Amino acid sequence: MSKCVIKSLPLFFCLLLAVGVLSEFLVPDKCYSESEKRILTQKNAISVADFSSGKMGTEIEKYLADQFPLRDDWITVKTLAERLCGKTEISNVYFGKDGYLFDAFTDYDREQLSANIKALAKLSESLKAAGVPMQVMLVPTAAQILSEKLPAYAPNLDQRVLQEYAEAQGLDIVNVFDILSEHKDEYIYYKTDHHFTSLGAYYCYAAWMQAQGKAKNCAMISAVRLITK
Amino acid sequence: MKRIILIFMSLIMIFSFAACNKGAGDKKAEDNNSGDISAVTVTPAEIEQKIAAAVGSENYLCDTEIDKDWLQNSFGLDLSKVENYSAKQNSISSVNPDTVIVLKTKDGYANEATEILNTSFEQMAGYIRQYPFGTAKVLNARLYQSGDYVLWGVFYGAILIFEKFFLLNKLKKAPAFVGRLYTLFCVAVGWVLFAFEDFGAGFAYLKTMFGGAAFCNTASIYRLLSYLPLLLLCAVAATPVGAKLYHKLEQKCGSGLMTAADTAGIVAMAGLSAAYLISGSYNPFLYFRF
Repeated sequence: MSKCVIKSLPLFFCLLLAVGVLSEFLVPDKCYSESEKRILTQKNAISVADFSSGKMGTEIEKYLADQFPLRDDWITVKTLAERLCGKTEISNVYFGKDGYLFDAFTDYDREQLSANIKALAKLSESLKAAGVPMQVMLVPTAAQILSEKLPAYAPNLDQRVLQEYAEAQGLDIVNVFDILSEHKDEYIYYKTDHHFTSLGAYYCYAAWMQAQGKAKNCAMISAVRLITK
Repeated sequence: MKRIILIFMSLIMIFSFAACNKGAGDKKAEDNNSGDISAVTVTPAEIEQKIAAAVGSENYLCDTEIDKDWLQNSFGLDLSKVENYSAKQNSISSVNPDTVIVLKTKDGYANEATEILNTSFEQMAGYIRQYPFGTAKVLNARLYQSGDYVLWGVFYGAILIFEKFFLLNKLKKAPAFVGRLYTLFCVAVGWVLFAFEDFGAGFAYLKTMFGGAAFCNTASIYRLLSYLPLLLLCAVAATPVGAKLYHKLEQKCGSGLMTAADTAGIVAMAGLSAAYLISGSYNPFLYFRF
């Protein structure tokens, strides 16, 4: 490395620091990140009172990271670098085949599940007492139905265990796993969003109609054309 | 969350172990202010008993409870900020300076309490210079605060001592890779202590590392595959191959072109570092937490 480059290194580094610190103070704080769908850390989160517990340091870290100028672009650069290094998962999102992004589902909160299902069971019970039938439809995420498109060896929990648990607690379940799997080659899940498409929703509706004993002809909907991609 | 156990005094563990290894006269420097590091679940009384047991009954002279008023007025401790404590000294404290004070402080008071005890220890040290009694004991006194990073410090302290007295000669004789394996092993364990603020979670993690879970599952294969390119790159970068290649290129292309390449490389690396920093995945601000 030439001497000129070595000599200018400290200068470059100081410049970088100065620009970083100055911009931190000059650029007004952003409140909300549209792309991350969350509220960003604000200056007032930093409190000297938290100094001794170590919370202040953590808050400063969060603040600096959240309010850095052009944050979204920096994150894009970092994601690109990680993809180039061969990573197929970033922040709990798998980069699947055919441009699909998947919410990684590797674990769940058992206590929360138990509380939720109990609440549902209670509702179902009191509705039954009032003569109103209640059915529950648990719609799996894309990672379950399109698991073939996940990266190789990616940890992926079988979401059927949740449905089986709900069934065991006495809930009347409308099973949509099978009908969605049957149509997994169609466009039933969005590629970069965690929702199912209208087509996916229609198949679930068809499954529900079948459960009511009113058979629904799915063939007619298969003629739906995809207009935009 | 950060309840911190403060321990003033009396002896053991790695530290007296160190003293013993130094051999010589201060071997019996038992009742000094040295300390013990423990998980937050133990009570000060239990720690005090452990200290007593380690010192041995005939050497342990802390037999009398220190008066509450004495702790507050003479030491200057604010006991309303102390959750629980155990404090003892010798019944004839004017002759035997032996003292043990273990404090479990409430949130945020630990550092202040440490300072107070430090000050009173310095007074004591000044005093025995004028009226020498139990000088060795007092000068060997130690004050320990067990919070997050103290454990880490103790871990490396223990390794250092162990190395100095047993391992160094053997490592020097052994082939180089043994030393490297040993170093990386210690570093891997040390990082766990460093990364976890909660004792329980940290130890659970260590347990998993040492066979508390299956050796390998699909998740580990997945991680290995994800990081394989980077690992291979790092393995090559850790050898002199890169430098040799650089010099060869320099001879071929001339220094002007290499200067341009260097500059571009440095700017790119600075940019990448900033990008990783901002997205929060790698964080040198970790050191703010000290």
